[in-house]
Amino acid sequence: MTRYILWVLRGIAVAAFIAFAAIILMSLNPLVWRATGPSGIFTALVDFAVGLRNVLTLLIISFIELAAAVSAYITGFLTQQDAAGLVTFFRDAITAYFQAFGFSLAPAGLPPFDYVIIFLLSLYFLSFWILLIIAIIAGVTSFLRVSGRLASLCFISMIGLAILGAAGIVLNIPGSENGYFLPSAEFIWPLSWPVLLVALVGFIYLEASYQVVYFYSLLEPVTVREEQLLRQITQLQTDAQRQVPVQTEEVPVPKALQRMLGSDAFRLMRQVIERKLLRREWLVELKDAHEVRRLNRFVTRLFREDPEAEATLTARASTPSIYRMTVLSIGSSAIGFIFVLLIAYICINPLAFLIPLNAPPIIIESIELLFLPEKTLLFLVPLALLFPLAASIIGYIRQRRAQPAEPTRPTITQ
Amino acid sequence: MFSERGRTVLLIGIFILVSGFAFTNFVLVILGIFLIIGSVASSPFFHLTMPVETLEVTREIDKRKIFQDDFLHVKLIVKNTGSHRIDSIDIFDVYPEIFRLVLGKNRIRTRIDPNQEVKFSYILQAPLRGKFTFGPTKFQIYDRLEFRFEELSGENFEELLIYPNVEEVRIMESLAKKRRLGHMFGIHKTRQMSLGTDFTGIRKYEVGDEYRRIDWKASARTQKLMMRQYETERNIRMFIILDIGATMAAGRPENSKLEAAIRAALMLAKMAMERKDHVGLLSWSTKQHSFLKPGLGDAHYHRMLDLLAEISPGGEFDLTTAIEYLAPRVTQQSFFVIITDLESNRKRLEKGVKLIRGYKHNAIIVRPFGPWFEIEEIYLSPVERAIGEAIVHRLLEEQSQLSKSFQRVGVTIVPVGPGDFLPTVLSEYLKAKKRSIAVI
Repeated sequence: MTRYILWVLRGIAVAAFIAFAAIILMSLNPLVWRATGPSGIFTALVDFAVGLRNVLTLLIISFIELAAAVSAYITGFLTQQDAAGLVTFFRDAITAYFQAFGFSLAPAGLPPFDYVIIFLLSLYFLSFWILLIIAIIAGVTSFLRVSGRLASLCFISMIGLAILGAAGIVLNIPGSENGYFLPSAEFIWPLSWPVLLVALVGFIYLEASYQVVYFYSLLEPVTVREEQLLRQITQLQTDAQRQVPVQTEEVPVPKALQRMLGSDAFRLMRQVIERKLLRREWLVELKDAHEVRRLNRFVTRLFREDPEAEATLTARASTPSIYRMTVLSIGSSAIGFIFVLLIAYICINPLAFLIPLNAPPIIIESIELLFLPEKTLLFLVPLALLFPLAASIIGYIRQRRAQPAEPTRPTITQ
Repeated sequence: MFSERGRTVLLIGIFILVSGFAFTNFVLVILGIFLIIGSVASSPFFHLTMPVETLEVTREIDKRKIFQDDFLHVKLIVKNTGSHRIDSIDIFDVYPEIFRLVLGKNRIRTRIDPNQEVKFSYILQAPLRGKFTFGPTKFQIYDRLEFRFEELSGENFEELLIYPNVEEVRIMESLAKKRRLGHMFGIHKTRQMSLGTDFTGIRKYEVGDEYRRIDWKASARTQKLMMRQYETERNIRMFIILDIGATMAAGRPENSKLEAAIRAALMLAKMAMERKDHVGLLSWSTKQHSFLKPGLGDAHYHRMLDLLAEISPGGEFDLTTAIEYLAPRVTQQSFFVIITDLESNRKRLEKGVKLIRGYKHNAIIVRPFGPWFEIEEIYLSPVERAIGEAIVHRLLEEQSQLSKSFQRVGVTIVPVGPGDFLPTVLSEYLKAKKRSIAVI
């Protein structure tokens, strides 16, 4: 039952991941992939390699020119013409070096700074591919291993794609830009508003992933622990039955020694060697077997005398109720969503609350004059700080109420 | 406080929000706000439901005193007496590091509803003797999404006394019963001729003999006065002085000089008490000491077991102060078995030995020889081996000088290693019995 519920939760998280990834990928301009299909990554890689080569070449030549100029200036032996000649010599030499490997330098005529721009652009396009690959790998692995850290990495990668897209104006989510001009007095956000949907799907994905991790961290270890302990006990009982055979293994003794000694002397010698070599290993095995039997006796007696010993050893007694857990978690998540939506709405559209509350006109007017960033920060920062502050005050009061209990160290009386 | 995950989500939220502002993207702004609020919003509720006073923890240990290498079942019961549920709690019960976890686990991650309790247990093996403290139980309480956590610690400590291993004593007893130990472990009587009631033979009359012991039949037969000879078994008073200085802790923890000395002392005491000899104990160092006056019987043996179990090495051994401490307490002549590695102040040792003889006691020094304990089963490089041999040589030289000094007052030093510790100590005890040293 536990395993099924874990799989259902994983399914929900996978669905959220697919939805979020699909929205982000579909919102990105296809041009960012440099080509349609998987060959796009090779195009991006080649562009990046060429850009890198151009920039490096530029750097080397610039360095040589700089070095030649500095040395000419310092020594005074070289004239400006000599320095220019030296630069040309090195540039020719490097060009010849690249041509020997089938490369050519970047087309002449471009201003040096353009090389850098082209390189940065290639890096920009390559970053989309890198982030996509990281997101897919981290996403799939996080579902298989149920890891919160990998889920976070996947989320960061997906968001990275969105940020890159937004930076290059290649992210096209309807309403994502004109949201800045949302009418202040509009009280209700339409739930079908794509901007809200995308943000919600992203948030749901993260919440669902962490929820799966939470269920998994509580339920899976108990199951594994129970299986492991039952296996150990079975193994213990089997091992306890095993008898350690008396050591009869023969140690090879050279034939020459047998010829040299008589048969009786040889037999005696063999016994001495065998005893010396094998006794230690045999004793260790004997001791281990003895320990296993003792442990088996202890466990058998424990299970006989304490009826709940097996349940406590396997921690079966501590397994939380899956039904209760599911209901409460879904309820808590739902309340959390509503709460977060409400606070977010206050931050973005404070007038919707201030007007019905009959706030002074001067405040309303001053807020109306603000742009989205200032308005959001003006409300978000105090609200976000309010929660930790309240938490600190509550924590402080509770700590003060709690009496400092003296540690009791019972001594042995019997 | 924020967990790693909580911090990550908050930082991602801030980054996304700033990106949204920078690139004029409303999706990023909303998502950033969601994450920031989502990571901080549950803080007050988390602190409000924190079970600071409502978490009750009970540790049940099936025995408070066990023998070394025995098993122990530890059960932990944690109850949430509050009215709020604990979404995620990591319970970790601390046990002494030296113990071996054999079955089960000492930690669990679970959730506790109001007025509910969780129980889990584990089985440990105690590989060393001594007094150990269990606890506290530590809790890490997380919120549902692990954005925040708090650490709490229960104040539940339990003490446990581990007696030294008596396996050797048991083996020796069973072997002795079968008479398979030959000359070393056989029963030897301390004979005092002409006393007692056990007839041993007939001998010629000597001046001063009691007339009532004349065997008239034998005298008539031989035409000489013959005496009936009887023997009796006399018991001795033995005192074990144990060096518990820091140097005795050298060697592998389960087979250090001190552990071997304790096992030897225990076996010696058991054997002597079975032969009705009185055995006392003094464990001594500059930091601590414990004293048990000579006695016998099961209760006395168990008191000795308690004292030996609680010994922990520390400080320096000073034989002079030990003897000065003993002098008023042990006034009758006794046989002192001093178990020390002789690595303390030499002058104090010599003075202590002289004091022993001054008080008319007999003594033998059993020396666990350091290098034999410390380099046992350890692979040494040629250089290390050479250094080791040099140390052994120097220690043997010192011992030889000490031996000469001690022999002048009739005290011998017997060096022992891990392999021959017990047989040597028992052998010396039996020799003392034969020589009727310190008879009661």
